[in-house]
Amino acid sequence: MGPPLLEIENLKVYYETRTVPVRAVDGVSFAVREKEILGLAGESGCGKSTLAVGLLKLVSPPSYIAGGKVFYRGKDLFAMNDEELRRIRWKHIALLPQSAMNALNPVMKVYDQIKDAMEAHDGKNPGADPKNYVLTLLKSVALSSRVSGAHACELSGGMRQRAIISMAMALKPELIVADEPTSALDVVVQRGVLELLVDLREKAGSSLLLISHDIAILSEVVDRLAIMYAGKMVEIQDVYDIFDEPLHPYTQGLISSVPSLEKGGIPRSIPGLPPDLRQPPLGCRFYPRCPNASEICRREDPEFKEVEPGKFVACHMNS
Amino acid sequence: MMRSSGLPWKRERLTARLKGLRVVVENRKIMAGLCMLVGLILTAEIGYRLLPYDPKKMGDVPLGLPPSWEHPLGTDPMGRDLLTQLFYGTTLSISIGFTAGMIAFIIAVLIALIGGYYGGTLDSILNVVTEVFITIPSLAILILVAAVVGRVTIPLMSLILAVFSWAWPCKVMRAQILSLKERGFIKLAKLSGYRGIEIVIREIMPNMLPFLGAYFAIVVSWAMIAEAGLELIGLGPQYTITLGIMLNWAMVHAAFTRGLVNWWIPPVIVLIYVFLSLFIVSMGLDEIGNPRLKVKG
Amino acid sequence: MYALALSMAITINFVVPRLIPGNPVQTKLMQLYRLGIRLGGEEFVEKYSRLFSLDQPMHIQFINYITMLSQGNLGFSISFFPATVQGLIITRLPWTLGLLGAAVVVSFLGGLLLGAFMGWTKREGKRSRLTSIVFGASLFLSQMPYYLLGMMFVYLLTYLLPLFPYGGGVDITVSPGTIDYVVSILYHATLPALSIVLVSLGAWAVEARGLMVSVLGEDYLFLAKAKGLRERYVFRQYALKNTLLPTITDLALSLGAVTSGSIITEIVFTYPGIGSLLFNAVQSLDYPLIQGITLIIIFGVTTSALLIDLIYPFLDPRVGEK
Repeated sequence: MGPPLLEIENLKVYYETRTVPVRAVDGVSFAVREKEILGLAGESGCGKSTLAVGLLKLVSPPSYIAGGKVFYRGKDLFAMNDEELRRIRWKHIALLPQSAMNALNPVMKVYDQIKDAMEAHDGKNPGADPKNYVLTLLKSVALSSRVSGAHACELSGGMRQRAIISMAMALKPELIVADEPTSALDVVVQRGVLELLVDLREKAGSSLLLISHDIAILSEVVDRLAIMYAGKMVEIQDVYDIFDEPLHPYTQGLISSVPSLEKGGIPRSIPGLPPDLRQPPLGCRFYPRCPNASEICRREDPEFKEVEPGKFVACHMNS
Repeated sequence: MMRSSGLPWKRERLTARLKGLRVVVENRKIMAGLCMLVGLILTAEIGYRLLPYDPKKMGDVPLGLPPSWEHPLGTDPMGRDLLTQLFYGTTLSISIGFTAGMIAFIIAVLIALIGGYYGGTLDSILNVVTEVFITIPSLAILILVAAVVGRVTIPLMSLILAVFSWAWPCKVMRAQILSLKERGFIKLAKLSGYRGIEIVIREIMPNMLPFLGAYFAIVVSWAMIAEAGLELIGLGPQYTITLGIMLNWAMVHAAFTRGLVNWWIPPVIVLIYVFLSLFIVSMGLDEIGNPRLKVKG
Repeated sequence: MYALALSMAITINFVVPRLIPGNPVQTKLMQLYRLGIRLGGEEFVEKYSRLFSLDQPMHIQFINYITMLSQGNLGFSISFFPATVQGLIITRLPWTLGLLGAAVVVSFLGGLLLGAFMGWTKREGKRSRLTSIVFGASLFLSQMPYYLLGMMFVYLLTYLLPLFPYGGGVDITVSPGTIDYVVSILYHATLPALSIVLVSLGAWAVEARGLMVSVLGEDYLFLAKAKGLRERYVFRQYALKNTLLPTITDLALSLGAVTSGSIITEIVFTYPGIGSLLFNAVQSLDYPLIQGITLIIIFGVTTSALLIDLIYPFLDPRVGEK
C-alpha cells in the first residue's frame, strides 16, 4: 500500500427538509491509500452511500455539501470548477452507485455507453480500436461479445452489474468506489463480482473503497475496515486487527452478530435504534445502545483519533 | 400516499374520511378553483333573476344596441339582451358540461375498474374499445350524429358529448389501476380473503380518490370544450341559449370582423374562466395525489 | 385494432344518416322548394332516389356502399350536384393536410424541445423565473380550445390591427403558380395555423417537461454525471432520447383530437379545407357529402395513427423485448 490517494477531511453532507436538515454525514475524516482495498461498513442509514456520492460532489437537491474537504492526490476537489471535477470523475475516481443495475441508459447499446465514457475523457483517438477494447473489457467481466451490441433490457441483473463494472474499468481509474456492488445479486454472482473488483488491484493498480452493510463479505477481501454509525466514523483498523480486537462497542456488536462456524452459538444483535439525524444527541451517538457507556459518553461526543499507529476510533472508553 | 384501509372499523374510517376532506379543503388550489366556479354560477343565477329581460324571446328589446346602462352588454341582432343571455347561457353551458362529464366519468371509471381489476381477455377487449374511441376524431362523428339527429335536445346533447369524452380519462385511469394492482397491498387483501368488489371499494378507490377528482375536472373541461365547439358550428340544442350558441350567433353575423366585441368577448371570457377554474382544481387535486409536486410552504 | 376502428367507423358512418325517417332527397327538394326553386315532382324524387339507391332495403344499400367505396366512389353530393363527393374532397383536402400537417409537425417538435429544455433546467434545483413563466404560459395555452384562440386572433389581428387576411385560403386575385401565390397561401394560413400550433405546442411542452423531470430522477442520469460526461452530451443522449420516445405513441393518439379541433378552426376562419366543407354539408343536410368527409377524416386519422404505431418499435429498442 502506498501514499494516500484520497483524503477526506471532516466531510459533512446534509439533506434539507422543511424544518431542520438531516445530518447524514456529519464530519467524517479518513484516507484511502494507493493500491488499498478499504471496506466501509455500517447499517442502513448510517451515511455510507451519502458519503460515496458526496466525495465527488455528485449530490443533488435536497442534499448538499455542508462542509469539509476532499483531497485527491493533494488537490482540493471542492475547490475545483465543474470542468476540472468532470475530468477527475470516472477517469481517476469511478463511482459505482448502489443499484447500478438500473444505471444503464435503456435506449443505448452497452458498447456506446462504454465508448462515450472513453471519448469524454480521452477524446476520439484515430488510431485506437475501441470496438476490440470494449470486447476485451467485457470478456474480463465474463460477458460475451453479444452484450456489446445489446440494450439494458436484454440483460439480466447480474450481467448489467458486470457491464457497469467493465465500464468503470475502461479508463483504468486509480480509485473505484463501489457502493453495495453485490447486494441485489445471488450468491454465486456475488462472488464473481467481488473477485473481479479485488483483482483490479493486481491488474490495474487501482484502489477500492468497498461499501457494504455486510461485514462478513467485506472481511474476506479488504485490507482495512472502516465502520460508520449515525453519520460518523467510529473505527478504522486493519481487518485482522479489527476482528481480533474491535475497539468500538458498535464494532464489537456488529461482529458478534455475524454467525460463526467456529464459535457456534446464537449471534447477538444490538438492541435499540440509531438516533434521529435531524437532532443528533450532544454526546456520543451510540450512547443509548452502548453496554460500556458512562457519564462522559452522554455529555461529550468522542473525537475520532488515532489511538495507536493505524488504529482509529471515536470512543471515550478506548482512548 | 399508499393507505390500506386495514380493519373495517367504522370510526377509524370516519376519521380517515374527515382527514381526507380536510386535506382537500386546506389545499389552496382546489378551494380557489371551486370558489371561482361557485362564484360564477351564483353570479349567473342571481344576475339572471335580477334582470327583467328574456334571453330567448326574440324582439324582446330593440335590436343591435351597443352597451348602455339598461343593457350593459347591448343587445343582439335578434332583439335579446346580451347580459341576460350571458347569465342564462353560463348556467346552462355549465350544467350540460357537468352532466356530460358526470356520465362520461361514470362510464370511464366503470370500464377502467372492470378492465383494470379483472384483467384477462375482458380487459383486452375493453382496452381496444377504449383506444378506438380515443383515436377516432370524436368531433367528426359528433358532427355526423348531431347533424343527423336534427333537433338536439339538452339531455341528448349531454349524452352525445359523454359518449366521446370518456375514452381518454378511462385509459389513464386504467393505467393507474394497473399500477396500483401491482403494489403489495392488493395481493395482501386478496390473501386475506376479501372479495373482488370489496377490494375495489376498500383498497383501490381510496388511493385513487384525488386522481379521480382531477380526472373529473378534466372530463368536464373536455365536455364543455366539445359542447362549445359543436354549438359554435350550429349543432347545439335548438331554441335555447348557451355560451356556445351565443358565439354561433356572433359568428353568423360576422361579429369578429365587424368589431362587435360585446357580442362575443363576454362568452369567451366566461368560457376561459370556467376552463381555468377547472384546471386549477385539477392541479390542486394532482398535488394531493402526488405529494412530490407540492411546492415548499 | 386498426381494422376494427375502421370498420366500426364505416358502419357508423353508413348507419347514422339513414336513421332519420324520411327521404333526404325529398327533404332537400322541399327546402329548395321553399326557396323558390322547383326542380320537379314525384318522378324527380324517384329518379334520384334510385341514383342514391335510397329505394333499396338497408342491407342492399350497405353492399352497394361498400362496393362503391372499394372503387373509390363516394357518390354524388346532393347540394353541389352534379359534383361528386370525392371530387369535392380532393379539391379541399390539400388545404387541410397542409395546415394540419405543418401545425402538427411544428407543435410536436417545437413543443417537445421546449418542454425538454424547461425540464432540464430543473436539474440542479435551479429556479429560473423565465422558465416558470414560459411553463405557466404553456400550461394555460394547452387548456384552450383552438377555436377560442382562433376567434381572438381574428379579432385582434384582422380587425384591430389588420395584419392578416380573414378567410379564404388564398387571395383570388393572385394567379396560381407564382411566388406571390405561395406567399399568399402562407399568409392566409398563418392565423389558423397559429391557433392550432400555440395550443398544441403548449400541451406537448407540458408533457415533455413532466417526462424530462422524471427522467432526471433516474439512476442512469446519475451515472452519466458520475462518468464525467459532458453536459450537452448527457442532455442529448441520455435525457432527451428517453424523454421523447414515449411521446411518439401519444402523438398517434392525439391526431384525432387535433383533427377535430382543426375542423372548427377552419370554420371560424372560413379556410377552404375539409372542415368547412363538412360544415357546409351539415348546413345543407348533404348526407353523401357528410358521410364521405367523415369517412375520409376517420380514415386519415386512423391510418396515420397506425403508421406511427408501426414505426415506433424501430425507434425504441425496449419494445418487443422479453
